[in-house]
Amino acid sequence: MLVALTGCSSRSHDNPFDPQNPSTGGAPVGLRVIANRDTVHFSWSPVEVDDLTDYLIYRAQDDQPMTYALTLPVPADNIRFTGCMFDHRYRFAVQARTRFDDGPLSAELSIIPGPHNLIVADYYDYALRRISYDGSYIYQTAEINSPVALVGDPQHNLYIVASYWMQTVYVLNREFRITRSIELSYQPVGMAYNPTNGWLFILQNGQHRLSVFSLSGIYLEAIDLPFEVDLQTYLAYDRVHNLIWIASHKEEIVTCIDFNYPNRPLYQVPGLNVTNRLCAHPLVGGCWMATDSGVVRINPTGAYTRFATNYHITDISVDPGTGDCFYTGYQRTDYRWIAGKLVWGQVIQDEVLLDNTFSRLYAIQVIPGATAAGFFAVQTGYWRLLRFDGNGQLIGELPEYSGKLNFLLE
Amino acid sequence: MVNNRRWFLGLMIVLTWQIANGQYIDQKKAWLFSAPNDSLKITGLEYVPVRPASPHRLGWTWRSTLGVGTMLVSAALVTHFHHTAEEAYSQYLHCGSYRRMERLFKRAQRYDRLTGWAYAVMEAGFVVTVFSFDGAP
Repeated sequence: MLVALTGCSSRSHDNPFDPQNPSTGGAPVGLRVIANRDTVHFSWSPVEVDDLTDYLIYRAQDDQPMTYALTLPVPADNIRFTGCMFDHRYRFAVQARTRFDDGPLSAELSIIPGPHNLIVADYYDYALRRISYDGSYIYQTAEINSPVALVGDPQHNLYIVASYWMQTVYVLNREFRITRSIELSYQPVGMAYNPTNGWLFILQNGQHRLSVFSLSGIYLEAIDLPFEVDLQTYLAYDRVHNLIWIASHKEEIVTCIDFNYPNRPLYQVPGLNVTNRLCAHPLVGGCWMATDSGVVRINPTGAYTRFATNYHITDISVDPGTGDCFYTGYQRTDYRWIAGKLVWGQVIQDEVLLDNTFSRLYAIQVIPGATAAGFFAVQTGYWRLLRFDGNGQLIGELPEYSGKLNFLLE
Repeated sequence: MVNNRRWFLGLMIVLTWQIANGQYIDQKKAWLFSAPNDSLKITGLEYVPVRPASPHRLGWTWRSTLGVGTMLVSAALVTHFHHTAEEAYSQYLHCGSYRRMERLFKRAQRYDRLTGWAYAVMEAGFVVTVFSFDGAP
């Protein structure tokens, strides 16, 4: 006891500028980087010591060594870089300087700016998140009960989220604040949006109809369907031909409703076993469809063609700029997981992007960039959201994602 | 008859003397308690003389004076050293110079050690104080 009393001092190196500080190492911490298109915002927690004069900012692009960029006098704790190039990795670090000494350089933080951020609705996690273009950072999170469908209105900067258990459609602004809500009679399972006239198409569980609402919540009409809607019924809006495509996994049928006519004529394409999303083609209309035997491309006339027929397709996503269809799936014979791309053109070409390098890919979302479009993929079982560039190289990763996600490009 | 009268007188004198000293009743009680059916046999009573205690006073010796003095001085030192260590550490936390930072941190550690030593001495003084009071007037 005497030794304990007289021999020891329990003081720890808590000065944030102290190189022996176990948490900071003497360098600034709390680094944060946010990219919005070509602007990168880099910030850090202020170093709270006396005689602090300024912060030295270091920056590097791609694999180049870190170089001094500029000096910021205190109390600055952030810097904004504009004119950054898309699809290039930028690295940042900061160093604190006092009247007496220069502190060590902080840890590096990197980001790849791009033309889009990604909005992700996580059904099981009750969350709506804004994710960086490179899939490395979560910028913002909002709590939304069981978000089952997500669409966007880019003209008005609105996000429209359907909540399954709340039986409500929420309209959110860019800050994820609910501006209005539309209460439904039954649980929504799918949703599509026509931004031209502001019509919202909603499928509700256990019903035999498609409900149409205005964005202000006015019930416009209901179109009867030849089958009962369930959780495995999917829909997409074809803005080129003003059509609604609806596919039922249970009934193995695809229905097309033509909104160009007041009586809403309805066409059916039988024998297609849809497994996941429908995506309308942004350039020529018609739609892409994930089935248990390949990706199906359906023309507005109802004629269809199959691609990647050896694969059970788990999800598809269409590049809004080019119309290329990205898909994930597995080969039914040897359970080999792939991710591929059907390149739109006179002749549709099938390119394999991931060949059995990642398993259990149950969802995909294309994200267009300055060069080749990359994509996000959800690895179910590992619960990871993976970000790949256009060549299939992994460039970002976020943990703790469920398998039931909805995506929206911002 | 005379003998009887003398015997009776003698008995009365003895009884009167015993009653006056409270012995008679106690003997009666003892007789009652020692009844044949009673399991508790009290055959005799002891009388313990009780004397009032003499008034107790603490006595200051050179040892108790030394103990209390040591305790007070070292308590003052504990306070001073601890305060100095705290002040040095507080300055260290906001210091922006490596050299001064190190000096202040070492100073805080040094005064922490001194605080520990002073505390140990204070404890020793306390022990000396406790065992120095012998109760002698």
